[in-house]
Amino acid sequence: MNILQKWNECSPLRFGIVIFTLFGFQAQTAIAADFEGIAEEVTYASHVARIINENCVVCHREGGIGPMQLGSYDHVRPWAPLIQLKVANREMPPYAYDHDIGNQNLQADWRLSQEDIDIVVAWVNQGALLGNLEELPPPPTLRNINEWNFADQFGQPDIMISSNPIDIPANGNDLWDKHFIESGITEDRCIRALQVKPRGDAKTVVHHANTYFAEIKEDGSVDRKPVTEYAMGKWGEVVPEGVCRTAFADSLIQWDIHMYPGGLGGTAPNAAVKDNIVDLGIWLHPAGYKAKITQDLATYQLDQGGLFIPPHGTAMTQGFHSFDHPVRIDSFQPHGHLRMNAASLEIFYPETGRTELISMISNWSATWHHSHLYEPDSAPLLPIGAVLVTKQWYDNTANNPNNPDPRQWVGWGQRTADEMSHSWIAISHLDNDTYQELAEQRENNKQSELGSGD
Amino acid sequence: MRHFRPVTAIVALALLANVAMVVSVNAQQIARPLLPPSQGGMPVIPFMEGWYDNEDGSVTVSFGYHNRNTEDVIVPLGENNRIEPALLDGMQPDIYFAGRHPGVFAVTIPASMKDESVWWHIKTGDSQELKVPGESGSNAYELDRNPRPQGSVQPLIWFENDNRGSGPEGVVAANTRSVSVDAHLTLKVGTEDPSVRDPSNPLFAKPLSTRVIWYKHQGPGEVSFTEHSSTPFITTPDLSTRGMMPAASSRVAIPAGKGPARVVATFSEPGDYMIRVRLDNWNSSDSDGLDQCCWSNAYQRVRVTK
Repeated sequence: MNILQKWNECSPLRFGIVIFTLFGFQAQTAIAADFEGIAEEVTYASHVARIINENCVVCHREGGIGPMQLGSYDHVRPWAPLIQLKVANREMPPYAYDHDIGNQNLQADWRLSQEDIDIVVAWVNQGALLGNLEELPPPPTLRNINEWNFADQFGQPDIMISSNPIDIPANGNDLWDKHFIESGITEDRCIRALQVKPRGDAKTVVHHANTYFAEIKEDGSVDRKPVTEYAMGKWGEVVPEGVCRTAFADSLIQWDIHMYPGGLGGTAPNAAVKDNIVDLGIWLHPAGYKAKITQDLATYQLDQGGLFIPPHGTAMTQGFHSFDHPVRIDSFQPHGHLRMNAASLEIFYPETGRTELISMISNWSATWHHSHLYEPDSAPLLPIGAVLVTKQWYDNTANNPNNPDPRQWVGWGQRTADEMSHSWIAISHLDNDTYQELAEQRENNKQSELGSGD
Repeated sequence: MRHFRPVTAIVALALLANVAMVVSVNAQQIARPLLPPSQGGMPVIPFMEGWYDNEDGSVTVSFGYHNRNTEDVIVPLGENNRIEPALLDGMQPDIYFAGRHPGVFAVTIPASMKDESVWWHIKTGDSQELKVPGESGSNAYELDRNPRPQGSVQPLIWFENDNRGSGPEGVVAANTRSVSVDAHLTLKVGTEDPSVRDPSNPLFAKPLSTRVIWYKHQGPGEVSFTEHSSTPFITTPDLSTRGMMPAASSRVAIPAGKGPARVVATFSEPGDYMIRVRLDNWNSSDSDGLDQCCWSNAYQRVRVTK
């Protein structure tokens, strides 16, 4: 079989397996040399089971999207060297976000602490022992695999809207399904959280599923505002307290679903999917909830018209955006396809000439589109005139394991084989007084921390 | 060889389109375009759009291009503009209009050569030669002719008394037309969009029109298109392919997606020409050039004498 025919089986995970098979011994030796800090005996029962249960089993279980189960020692042991490699390289859990630079105060941050990484590495170096069964932590309580991600936090969504079912063939051209569903929202309300959830095998064939509050005008044109965005692997969105993101009354919901026949990633079915359905869950604040800050989600474009990636080459795009009022950046989610491999968000302050790096993702992958949610008390505040600088990098060489064909020219397009260059950013729009208030609050917090010696 | 022509209107539309593209949906933010418009001298970038697995065992590969200049570029067929293997050479254009033009021609690899690759080589002016391969194999580039989610399919196009065809490879007129320099030649195609859409979807409450565009594809001189009284040109702005394709002036709307389109062509120099006719249903929400569906090409050879 032509290697290009198998490209979509070369998910980062499978690529990792191949690499380990070829170079596992050398890699393990190198990791052993780098992590010699833990002298005590580390066993699965005493240390590692907790880490894996809390961070891995949610996906690596029967019916989960992880390609192998990791719910017990017997499941974990055969994969121990690969787990070590992936954990040491911060490829698993799959939350690519550079850990040593920029804003590190993130909500729903899946990254392991350095301490936990060291424990996993030491465990494998010591022989991946089971240890004393009496020290095993209780098995994790896993919610239903089809449950909403925010169910524990907020319960069931106040509004659930399902897309119309559609059959997706095993192969062929990408598909875009755009249709309208009544929202049932009768008065403007403030949104607390959102999740878009493809059902079953749809997880690997739904490339994106965007939703919009839409109104169809008499001439057939559609006036629409984003509800939320979903791209493969995304967890969901939480709106900060004290902020209102509006669910508009009397609007239709427009689904805009991009499907990739055959699927993408390690668990892609490479088969037809019947009755593909995507669900939208919206958690609302109580009626009457008031907030003086409004938030919206929008795409911020990079230089998509100038995006041309040569065969066996690389490229970079940049985008610049400023506002005529102060804002707070609540979340950042870069978007690209198979050749994109890195992204960053910076703020340029024209008055001082200073540039601040907010977020850097050096190991971005199209199989995990995370919306990085900044903690509200440290989310970037932008005065009027400050410039958001977004950058994205692309690798069309054979070194990119996701690359379907490095011999092709690649330009902008919606297809998975083409490329895109934009970010979804949730912005809280501030007036001058609120901006001053938030800035002073942060300064006071900083002074308090200095005073307390923390 | 480069060929320049007045393109003020096209440039203006292209710039408008670019601005529309970089401005986010949030009107409160201020876009800052990064690049100045191209001043020319940029290469034409060849794109392999994808491949179709045909029932007879052959493979059809669709090719398009992006001309990053604001002017049209001429690259005569030959050493600087060729398909390999040479057996499959000849359908690529020699004129490259500004912007992105998907699926301008296609090459069908016979079943007996199914495992071979075709390569399109193109060298613009002093730029280095660029090339892309086309072949069956990569899932990411596989195309199909099945209905899209809202029912769009490749529309049917034909010349009088010829067979109907569809898709990027489309149809080539069986007969070569003849005309003398500066004389009027009326060209006509039949069209039909067989897409079946749900009328309960508010976007499809009324039948959608399709669109025919006439292009010069090959030939030594200029080709001018003027509207035929039966099918007047569309005069409203066109932002096809999300603003990446400057509007062609020779656009004709086909109401309800069924009916003939005519145009009057005149040729400035004698020689052998090829006219391309593109029929698309990009008014539908599930059809767009860069989504690789749904349009069809038709090609008419014309011999122009003094």
